[in-house]
Amino acid sequence: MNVQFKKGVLELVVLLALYKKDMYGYELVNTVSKVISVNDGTIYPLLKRLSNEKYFETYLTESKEGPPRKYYKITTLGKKRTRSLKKEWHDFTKAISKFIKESDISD
Amino acid sequence: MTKKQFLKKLEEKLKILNEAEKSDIINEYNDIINEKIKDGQSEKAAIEDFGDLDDLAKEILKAYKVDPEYDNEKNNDSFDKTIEKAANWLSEKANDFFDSLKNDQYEITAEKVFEVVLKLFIVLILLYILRLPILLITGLGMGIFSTSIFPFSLIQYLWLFIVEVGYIFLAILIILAIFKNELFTKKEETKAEKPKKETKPKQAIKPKEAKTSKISAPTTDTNSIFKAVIIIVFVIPIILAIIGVIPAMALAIYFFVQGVKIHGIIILLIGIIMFFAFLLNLAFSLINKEKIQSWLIIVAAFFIMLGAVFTVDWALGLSFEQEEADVLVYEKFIISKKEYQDSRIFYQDEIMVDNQIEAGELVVKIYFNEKHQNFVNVDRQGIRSFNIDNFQNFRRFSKTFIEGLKEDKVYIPYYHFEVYASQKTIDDLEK
Repeated sequence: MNVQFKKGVLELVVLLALYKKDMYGYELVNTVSKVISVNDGTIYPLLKRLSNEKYFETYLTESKEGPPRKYYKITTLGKKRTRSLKKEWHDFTKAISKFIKESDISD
Repeated sequence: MTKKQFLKKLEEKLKILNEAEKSDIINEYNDIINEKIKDGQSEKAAIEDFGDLDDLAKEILKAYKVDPEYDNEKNNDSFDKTIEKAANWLSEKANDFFDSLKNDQYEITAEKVFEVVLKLFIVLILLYILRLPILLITGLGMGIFSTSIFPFSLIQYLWLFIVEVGYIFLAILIILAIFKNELFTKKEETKAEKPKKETKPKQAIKPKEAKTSKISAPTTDTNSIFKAVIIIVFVIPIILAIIGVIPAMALAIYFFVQGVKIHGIIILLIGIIMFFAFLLNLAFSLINKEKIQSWLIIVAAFFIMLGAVFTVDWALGLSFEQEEADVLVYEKFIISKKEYQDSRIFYQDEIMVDNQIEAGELVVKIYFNEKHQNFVNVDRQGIRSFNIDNFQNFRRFSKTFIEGLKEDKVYIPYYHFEVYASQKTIDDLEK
């Protein structure tokens, strides 16, 4: 997939993933990777950034298999952001799809 | 890179963050890597997935609205910055080098350690023994040259320099030769690894071919660095030393052609050049695994010994004669007080009193050998003898010198001068 497309939409995918349920870092990356392939070096800093912008909060839980894990949980602000990004995406893709149809390029 | 090193480096790059944030991040990355290892990835692969460490750190810092370039602005002094960068690079390289040592099958057994220590002893003893012939050669050369007239007497220091330089090279080459196995990667490898390694050297040859023509494929980068170091530190200076010996040889040949029986020095110089050639051959054989031309050192030693014998024989046969100073010339001139004070240093003897000389005048008498009458000069600034700073005078001077040498005689130029003035003049000038 085109790198520019990926960059733009990564935040949305991450937010959506956490919208459904709280996850820890590694779990989240795996979930996101199923939708779009992404490099570790990009996604972890992104999580950090979104945390700093208060879209997530984090908490630790004891885990049976090892050290305590850090879980990400979406905040109200984060949920608001998710909804607005989702709308932006719909508007955006609608306009692009329309334009592609008008240009009459066959698939 | 191990997980520990990765996390350490990352922490270093994030040092501007506060402790809580920093340890939070490092812990998280630690957990992530552990999870991946649990899932079956190797430590190395887990770290590689993060991509370039610098870029990763930059991205993280951006999340804190920190300009990742802050570190560059911190040291406005670019000299400090360069030193810091260089130190970092050096420590990284050193760490990588030691890691590669650990990774290769470089076992440190008690046997190996003992071997190295023993070799060290042998090297020290050899180097000490080597000092003896060097001392002999140095002393010989310096003794011969110091009896020459200035500026030829300076050649003794050139001689000393050449010999010492030769000793240093020989010493280091001995060290390298004895420690060859320790320093350079072994060619014999276990049978299991042989087929894999065979393809590696072929790939390594291609880029290296552009650099030098005959370097055999190194199996590690440090190996080729050693070779480059040898070339720069040894081969080039040895070549320069040979070039330095050439003028000495030319001079000796000139003297010989003029009739001075200096064949001993010529043979000696030939031996020295062969010795340097042997050093070069030794250096190249260490680099390219070429055969050592051991005949070179044997012939060189023979020439040096023969030349030394002839030279000593000739030198001992020289007689040193003090010339007679039998020609007199004198000048009288008026000297101002200032000029006198400035040039007092030239008036080696005290001024002698002769009250018949007019006031304010100095009479200078100088005695020398008629051979040098073209060189002696008396001028207002002092008495200069042997004014050989123009080429013609130099030629004449060297001609007389060579003429003397042909007869196995070295003439020590001799001159003598006296200065006279009236008592009143002296008092005025000395005030």
